[in-house]
Amino acid sequence: MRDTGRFGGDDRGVSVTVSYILGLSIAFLLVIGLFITAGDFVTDQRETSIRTEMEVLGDQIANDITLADRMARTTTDNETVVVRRSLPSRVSGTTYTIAVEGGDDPYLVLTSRDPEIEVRAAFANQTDVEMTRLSGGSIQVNYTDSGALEVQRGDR
Amino acid sequence: MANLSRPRFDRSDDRAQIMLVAGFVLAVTFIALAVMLNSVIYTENLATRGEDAHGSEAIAYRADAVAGTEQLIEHVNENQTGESFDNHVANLTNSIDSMDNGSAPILATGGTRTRISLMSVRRGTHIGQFNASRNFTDIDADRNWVLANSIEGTRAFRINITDSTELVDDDVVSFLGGSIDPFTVRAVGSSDWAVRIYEDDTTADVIVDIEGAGECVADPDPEIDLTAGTIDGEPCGPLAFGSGVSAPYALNYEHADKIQGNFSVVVETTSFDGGNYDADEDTPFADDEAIYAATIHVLHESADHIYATDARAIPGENDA
Repeated sequence: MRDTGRFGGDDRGVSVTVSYILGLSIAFLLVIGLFITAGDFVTDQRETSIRTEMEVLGDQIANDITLADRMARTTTDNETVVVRRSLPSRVSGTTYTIAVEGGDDPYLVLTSRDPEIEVRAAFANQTDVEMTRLSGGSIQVNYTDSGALEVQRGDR
Repeated sequence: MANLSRPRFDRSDDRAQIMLVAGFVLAVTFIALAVMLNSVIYTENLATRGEDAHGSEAIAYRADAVAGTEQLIEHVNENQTGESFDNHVANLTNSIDSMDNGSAPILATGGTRTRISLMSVRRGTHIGQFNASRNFTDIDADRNWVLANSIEGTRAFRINITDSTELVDDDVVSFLGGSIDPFTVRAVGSSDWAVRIYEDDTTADVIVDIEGAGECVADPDPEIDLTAGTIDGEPCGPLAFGSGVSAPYALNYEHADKIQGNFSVVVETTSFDGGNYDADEDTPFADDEAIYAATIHVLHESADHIYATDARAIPGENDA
């Protein structure tokens, strides 16, 4: 608060430059602090949302594979089994890949591109599942001629 | 860069540019958070939608189609006796088409395309006797006789005992220390499988004794379904028709004078001795124009799935 005594209105003895630098410094510190805090907060929330979204998508794909497995097991000859699902091609603004890994004990791996976050989803299967990798988006689970399930790019 | 303050002679305090930038940063932050929150809400909405691809419906539809076809096969065999095998097949084809035409429009209203079509039919022989007061001997009253040979499968084998007092009492059964052999059904192939039926002389219950596997006890005058493994509709654990016998096999009756009632069975063969049978259904008869089994093709398709497969319809199939 400015002095309003007998020397009120007089700010002699206080360097304008010092006053200016002090004010500017404090303001910059506050803004930079806000930038850092808000930036970290947004980044954390974005990673959390990407992880949550991919967990949901992974569970849905795992559900489709399990369903296709159940359907495939009830077929005999002249069989066709296709399970389709429409999925977003981006999660929280980043692209992602869907992969089936694990060999004889397969599981799903969803990996976002930027930031790189990996999420796994387990599923139960009796029919073999092909090891595949494709970019995120609509998928379909096909029962192939070789008697295995394969996660493929959807046609819609 | 904009001045952060006016000259020292004017301290009217509009040094708010920094705060403005800070406010802008906060605004952008909130917008980013809102967009992300929206994305999360959308995804969690997806998660709670329960958006199953209706695969279970497809599997259930297949089961229904098979069950319906089995009923139609039974109907064709039982209600159109005397017709040729080709007529049976034509009737079955028409019936399956009617079933398909009846169900497809209903499912189409839910966005599902379905189709049931007959692919192939396997021929068999319907053997039976519908005289409830006769024993199970052949038309020449032979008590040990062969129902059919070279059998690839047996289904719907039902014995209905109408007077269980005609059965051998267990106190005189040969393999229990007595001297009289009870009525026996025997499948003879790579190995033997047999079921012997006799009566408990104290309780008058009927004992269904599966050779080497165990026995089940039933009330008097039971209905025994050998291929379904049930007695009066109740499961009988040891009763697994033809267990351990690989096809082809022969089906024999032994001591068929020691039982009274009627029976019916469908076997996948046309090899049998016609001299054992008569056209009269009050004596043992054999209709080799019967349908043993059918293969149908089932399609169940909607926007989120395609399910198609062949399926075998074998009414009352056993594992022999």
